[in-house]
Amino acid sequence: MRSINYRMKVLYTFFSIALLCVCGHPVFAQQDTMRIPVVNGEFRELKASVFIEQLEKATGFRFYYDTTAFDSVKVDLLIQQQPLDKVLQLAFDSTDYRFTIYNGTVFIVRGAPVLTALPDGFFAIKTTGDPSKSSFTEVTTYIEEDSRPQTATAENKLHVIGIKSTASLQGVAKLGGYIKDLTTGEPVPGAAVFVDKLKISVISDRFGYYSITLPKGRHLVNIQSLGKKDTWRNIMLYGDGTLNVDMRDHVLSLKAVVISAKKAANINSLQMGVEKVDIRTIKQIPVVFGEADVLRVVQTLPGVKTVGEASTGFNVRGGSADQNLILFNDATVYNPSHFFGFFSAFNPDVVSSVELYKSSIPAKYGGRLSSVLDVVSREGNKKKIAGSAGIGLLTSRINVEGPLIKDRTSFIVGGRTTYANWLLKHLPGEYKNSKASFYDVNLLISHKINEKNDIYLTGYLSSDRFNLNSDTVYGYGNKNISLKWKHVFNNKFQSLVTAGHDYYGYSIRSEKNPFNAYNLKFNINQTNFKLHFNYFVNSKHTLDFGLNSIYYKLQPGSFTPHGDKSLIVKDEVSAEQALESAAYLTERFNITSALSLQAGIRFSLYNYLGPKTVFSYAEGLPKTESNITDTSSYARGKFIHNYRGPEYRLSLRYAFTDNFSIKAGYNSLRQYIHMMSNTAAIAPTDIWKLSDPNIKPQTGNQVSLGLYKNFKSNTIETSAEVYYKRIKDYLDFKSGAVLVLNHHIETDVFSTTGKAYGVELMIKKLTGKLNGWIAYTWSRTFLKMDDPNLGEVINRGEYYPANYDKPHDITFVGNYRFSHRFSVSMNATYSTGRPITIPIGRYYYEGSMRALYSDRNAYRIPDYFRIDMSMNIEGNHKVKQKTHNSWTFGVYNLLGRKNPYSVYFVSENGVINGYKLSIFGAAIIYANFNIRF
Amino acid sequence: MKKYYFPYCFLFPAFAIIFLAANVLWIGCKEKYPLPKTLVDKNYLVVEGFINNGNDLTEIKLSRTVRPEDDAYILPEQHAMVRIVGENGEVQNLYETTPGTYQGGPYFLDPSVKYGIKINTAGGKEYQSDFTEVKYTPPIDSISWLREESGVRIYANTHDPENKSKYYTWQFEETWDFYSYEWSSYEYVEADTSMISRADPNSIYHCWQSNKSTSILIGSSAKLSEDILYMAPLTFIPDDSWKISSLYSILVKQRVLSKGAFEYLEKMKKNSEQLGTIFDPQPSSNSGNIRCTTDPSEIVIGYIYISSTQEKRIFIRRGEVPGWKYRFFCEPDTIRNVKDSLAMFFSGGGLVPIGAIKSMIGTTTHYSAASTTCMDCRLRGTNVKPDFWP
Repeated sequence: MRSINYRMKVLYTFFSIALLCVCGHPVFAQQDTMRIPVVNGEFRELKASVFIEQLEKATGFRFYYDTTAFDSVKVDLLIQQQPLDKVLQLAFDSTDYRFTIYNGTVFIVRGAPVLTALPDGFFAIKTTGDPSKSSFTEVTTYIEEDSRPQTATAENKLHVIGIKSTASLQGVAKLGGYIKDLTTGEPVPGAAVFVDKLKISVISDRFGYYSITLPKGRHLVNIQSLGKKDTWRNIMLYGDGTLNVDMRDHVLSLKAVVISAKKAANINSLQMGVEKVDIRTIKQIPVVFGEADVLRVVQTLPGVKTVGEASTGFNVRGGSADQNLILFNDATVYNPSHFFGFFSAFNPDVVSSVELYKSSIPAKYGGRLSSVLDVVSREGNKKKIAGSAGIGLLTSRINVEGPLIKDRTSFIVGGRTTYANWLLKHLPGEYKNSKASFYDVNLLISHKINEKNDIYLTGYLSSDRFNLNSDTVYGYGNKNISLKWKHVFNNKFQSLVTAGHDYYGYSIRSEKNPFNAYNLKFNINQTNFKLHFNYFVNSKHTLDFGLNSIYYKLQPGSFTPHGDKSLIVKDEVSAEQALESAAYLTERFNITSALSLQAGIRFSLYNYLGPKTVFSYAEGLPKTESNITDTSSYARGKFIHNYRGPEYRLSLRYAFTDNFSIKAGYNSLRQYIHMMSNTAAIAPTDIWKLSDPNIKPQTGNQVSLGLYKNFKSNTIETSAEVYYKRIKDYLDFKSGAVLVLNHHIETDVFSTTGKAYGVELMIKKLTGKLNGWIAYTWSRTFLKMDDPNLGEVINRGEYYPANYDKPHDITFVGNYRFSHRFSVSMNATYSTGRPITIPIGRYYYEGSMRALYSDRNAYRIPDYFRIDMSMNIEGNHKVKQKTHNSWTFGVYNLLGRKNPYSVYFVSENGVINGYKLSIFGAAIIYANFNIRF
Repeated sequence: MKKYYFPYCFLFPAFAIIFLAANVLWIGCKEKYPLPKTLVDKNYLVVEGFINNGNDLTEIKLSRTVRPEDDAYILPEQHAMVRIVGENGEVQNLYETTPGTYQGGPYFLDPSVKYGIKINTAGGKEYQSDFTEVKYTPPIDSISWLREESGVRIYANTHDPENKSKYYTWQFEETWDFYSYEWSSYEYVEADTSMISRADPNSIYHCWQSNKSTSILIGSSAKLSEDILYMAPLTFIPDDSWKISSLYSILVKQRVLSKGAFEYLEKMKKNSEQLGTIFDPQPSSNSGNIRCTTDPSEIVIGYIYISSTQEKRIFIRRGEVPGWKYRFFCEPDTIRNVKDSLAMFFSGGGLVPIGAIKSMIGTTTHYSAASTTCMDCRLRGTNVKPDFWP
């Protein structure tokens, strides 16, 4: 029994040393093999801590000591040419402090000295039972330990942060730093940095920067991120300081259980209704034609609906497609799709992660009602030139990245293009001469000026052109540039300044008839300026505040003759200008470790600016041309109309346990720019319109409640969220509305109110051989138009379901890794068919049978069900080889179902025919070859 | 028919140029879908027509909507009382000429007065249209056409020097003549199995066919600085169409619409003709300017306007459209001039003789012949020459 107790004690001591991550051995018994320095000097009536400090200076050794009552020891010595151990012995012999010297480190503790070796027989399976034999004298392992390559030193080391002092460790200190990828030097955004015991966690920002406030003292800081190996740091926090962390790529582990960063965050963070998907997951999910597609993956998330396959527009929690703010490194992307929506405009090779905010939209974002989709690019490899390329059936892509200045400046250039014309050749005669092409180019540069300053440049260009056997050529494109400067004042305070310019435009050209040849152009230009500050007041309070400003300049439509013969009368809707500014403040208040509150307010101010001529309409009458009472012209820069209003963003979290929390949120938003589209899907010819004196901004608010519970050490994450949302002044269109080249578009639109509610359930497992998620959403979205003064009353003024109201939606996304080199992915999705308006009767008019429509959206098209599969085959994983290859094979719409996109009824040659339209009517097989170099 | 290999049943949108509206057409995965049955069983009144202010009769057609699944094609509304009423109290009665068709006039209306119509149905309900302004239709400047790559498109050109018309509608009736494969010189006489010279070979050789527009054709100059409609498309004739196998004629009727009527028809067109694209607009209910006064919630279809009609006819000769692809192919046979053969091939109208093939000494050894459809144009039209035909 004694022996066991003894061993227990030794074990305990051993582990406490292991925690300290150094090994020493008792000084009296055994001298360190390292040279012991010799000390000279007179130390008179010094406090022990001061004495140690002097010794530290003199010897270069590090001292660790128990501060408790340490300064009650006074030292009075005159030392000449004495070795350190002798000196310490002299100093502490008469006290109950004992010291240990090991490898240039000195430990001074009260009572028993620190053991630097395992006791005799520690590794013996059989214990002899004789405690006397277990002395501390036998040191056989330390040399081995010393010679063992200590690659994991960063983890094993104790990092001393701040200026070491002997003062008692009271209060808190701020720890900040960058989390980077070890091999490429790229920052790791979204990594969770947390101290388990204290339930304190923060997430690194998009630059990999984190800042955490901790009580001074010893901590084990965990750092976790998706796709990275978990790591941790032992820190001794004396004061504010920096700790940069390098993380390794997590090589698809087969045995290790990885605790995902997001999971801990899921419970602890204040955000709700946030979905984050990293590019690895995105790349696993099978998509049509095999090109990893950011937006398609977003569409698999709960609460996200889409009208159909030929559309990258998506609807979040009952919002319309234009109520999503799509940001690519802070640049607003107005049209996120290529090729009629079959491809998203984001090159998967430069994307790092995608985050969708559905409910708790941070106050720094604004301007759209439903959601923010934040697409974040990677930073280039800071160590060496690398690249990747992919070849698919319809698209190819290449990207090259590398350092411009090693470890400081890096770049990524990525490009994609399509060669779909071969496919078009297979279309029937009528469309045989169709052509379609697109490309996009990304340029990303990041530069570290110094420890405190970084700049980032993002350039994005996309272009689409197509003509469908006609001479009418359609083209559209985005152009974005943004420059960001990040400045860290100190660990508590940092700033981010962003300036950028975004462009979206389309043009239609027809040359068919020289007399009717025209050019039609539309574009949006916006110049942004954003100033954002983070201020970590203390561990309880964090402030985010800043200013945003957007200057819009819209060319709502110019219709010009093309060629000399054209008789088209030039028509140009005069440009619109507006300034949208906002100031915001968010406070994050950790009331207790379980309860935290995030309260944000954003005050937005919108000025519609001249030059512009605006119409006034008679009060209380429908806005029609005949009710125009006045026409006023405003000069350049003049404020024509102002809108302003506060937006509130609140969320509250209560963590019952480490793996169960409940959150509630309320938010309100305002939107000043509206997409004019009376089609179900986003069309490339949709225009945008700024709020003006006659078109009010849209407003929306949402309350939501969520339960979050993690199982199996956070590897399985479940959540349930409910929400209720109201939308006001959402624009709908009078039947037959003319949206293009309309000089008084307010006469063709009217505001509606909407409501949406739903429940979203999700089970997610992002680690292990089998990973993926199942999401179920039950949701309803209704709109209402009941004011006959504003326009037509729809469905007798009752609520009617919106186009994207699909009550039931189940999505399964799964991936199974058979080995490091082979994995299979599947996704399955089922949803209720979307509502459509069907004829309730037919009649004969103007020489043909025609359908009579009545109640809007009273019928539903058949339900949608689709399964896709893909296989990913990776080449060998030898690290040292020129290129790494992988293949992806997949089948989209495995069952070959002709899923309906729409059902419609059309009068043809005098009779009404009904048709069901499917985008894909068969299984589509694809292959993609990817190469990394 | 050539078959196209489809790698996928893949949709392709095509944008047509219908005045800047994205009108995406589709090919591929389109399947017939039966009209869903409706629970609504209402027969709403349909009022089609306009008040003709001019030399023509005013014709109002009344019918009822039917359920999509019903058999009836048109359900005429009979025995109603239809009157033109003026704001000044003036009343003109229309009379039912054929079931559901009510006619009257011609009327010469006072341009300073607004008129509407009032309907009392046999079921005891009363319907009343809004009073609308009297519109005059300017003449059609020309009907033009252009040879396009794959056919001919026909356009209307018009203008109003007073800039008052702005909204136009057209209807057309096209007529074309065509010929049988060959001139048939002989006629088979069933009774004695013999051939005689055909008395009126032209009666089966030259025929006419006609067709009325089934689409809503509207145009507006509202967006132009002047009230000119240049090349407003009316119809397209693909170059493999028999319509221009010889001579083609189109009679275009033009009428000026009120803005409301224009918008009503435009909406009706969008709802019934311009669907089936990826980017379809929402079909919407469409309310006209006729109300049921006894039951204000009742839906009434139709929009009454007051206008006059202008007409223009043009002809297009095949020679004017070079490269017209239409050919009328027939395979003639040669039938021995023996009674058995003649009876076998000609009796019962199996074949129609073309001409005689004679030997060197002048005896008819064979008759050339072709099928009835090839030889008798009356199977594809009428041999009555229209009055206007040159």
